[in-house]
Amino acid sequence: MISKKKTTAPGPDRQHALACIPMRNPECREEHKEEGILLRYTVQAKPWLRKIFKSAAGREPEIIRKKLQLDAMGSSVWQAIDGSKSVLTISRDFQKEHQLGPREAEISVSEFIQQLGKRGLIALKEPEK
Amino acid sequence: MGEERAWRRIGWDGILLQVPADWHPAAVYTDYLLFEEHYQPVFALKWQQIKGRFEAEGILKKLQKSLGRAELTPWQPPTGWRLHLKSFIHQGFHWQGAGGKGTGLLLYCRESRRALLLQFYRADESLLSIFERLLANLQARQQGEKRLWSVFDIAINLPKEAQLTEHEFLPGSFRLLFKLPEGKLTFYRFKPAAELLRRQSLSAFGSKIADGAALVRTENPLQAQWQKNPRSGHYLLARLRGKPACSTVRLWVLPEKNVILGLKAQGNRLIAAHNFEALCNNCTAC
Repeated sequence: MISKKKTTAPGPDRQHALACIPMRNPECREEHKEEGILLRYTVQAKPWLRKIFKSAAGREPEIIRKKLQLDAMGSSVWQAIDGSKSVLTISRDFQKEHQLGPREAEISVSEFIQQLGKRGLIALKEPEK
Repeated sequence: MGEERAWRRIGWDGILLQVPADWHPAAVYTDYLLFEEHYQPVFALKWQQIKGRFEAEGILKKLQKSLGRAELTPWQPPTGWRLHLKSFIHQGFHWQGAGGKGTGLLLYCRESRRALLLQFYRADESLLSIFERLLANLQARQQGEKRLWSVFDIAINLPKEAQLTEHEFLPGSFRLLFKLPEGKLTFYRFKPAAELLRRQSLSAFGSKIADGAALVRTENPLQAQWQKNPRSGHYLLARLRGKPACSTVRLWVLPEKNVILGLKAQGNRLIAAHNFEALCNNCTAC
């Protein structure tokens, strides 16, 4: 009857992550389109790619230009990132706006923010104590 | 203090209970529910159908092992709690181990032959009355011909024969698959409807779920329905593949809840229209 059911990750880490404040990358440019916001940003080429490029072309590669098309929901979260609201506040607003469950909104918003972070579009600021 | 809180009803695999509305179901398995409060486990419930003789010692030994050789000590629940445990054989215990500590109850319902293991992860004074109310409303086996399946914001009343075989609760998308004597039944819940239908119609949104079934014309703009009733060749092919040949699918929007609900009935015969209608009427979002 009793089996290996595990409890979820310890609370403080999750709470701490939700208290962080996302900050936009000032280099990122946005364009408002019918389907949502289009983000234009630049990234440095990965070291292994630079090495290959240099040996092939004989020079360092230029900065890579990228773009990311957000849908309406992604755009609303992007617009909520103003450098003062925490991830938790953004997810609460998102929850109210779309009539979602609290945890459902938290997971959606934090996963989206994580994706933006991986692309270098945002950074997370530690909450003030 | 506990009386001021909002409560919600949870129904799962015949178990019926009430929990504070701000307790979040953090783990939902076919035979296990774990609730969190402020991101910390607060209450867990596990159950099992007992086939032979009920042996509390064996179950508690297994629990001890699963808790990393935690120390289990017998515990007598308060009088207020015991009043609600009359229909059960009960045994209380405290546990303490590397993974934490708490209070538990092992209950056995003779009528339904179900054993329930309740774990209370905290013992704050403020929670005692909440746990008492929880016990007062706990049912090991729902009575009647219907069973309530209600967790998060969904509530489905299904015939008691319905057995849950698969379920997933992803952000924005819930899916529960049941096995019935006549075939399979899948319940869907999608949110937020306004965003999902911003750039497409309900019928376009549901075409993947419909899986090749033909769209049926409906007058209701908030509803889309599909039906698959193949002719003999395709019917036989589906049967040979071991797949249900016929299906009826309906998606409908509840604008006030910003949700799309759906039901798919699959079987070797097409479900009767009035039965499907009755099933749809028993699905809702809270």
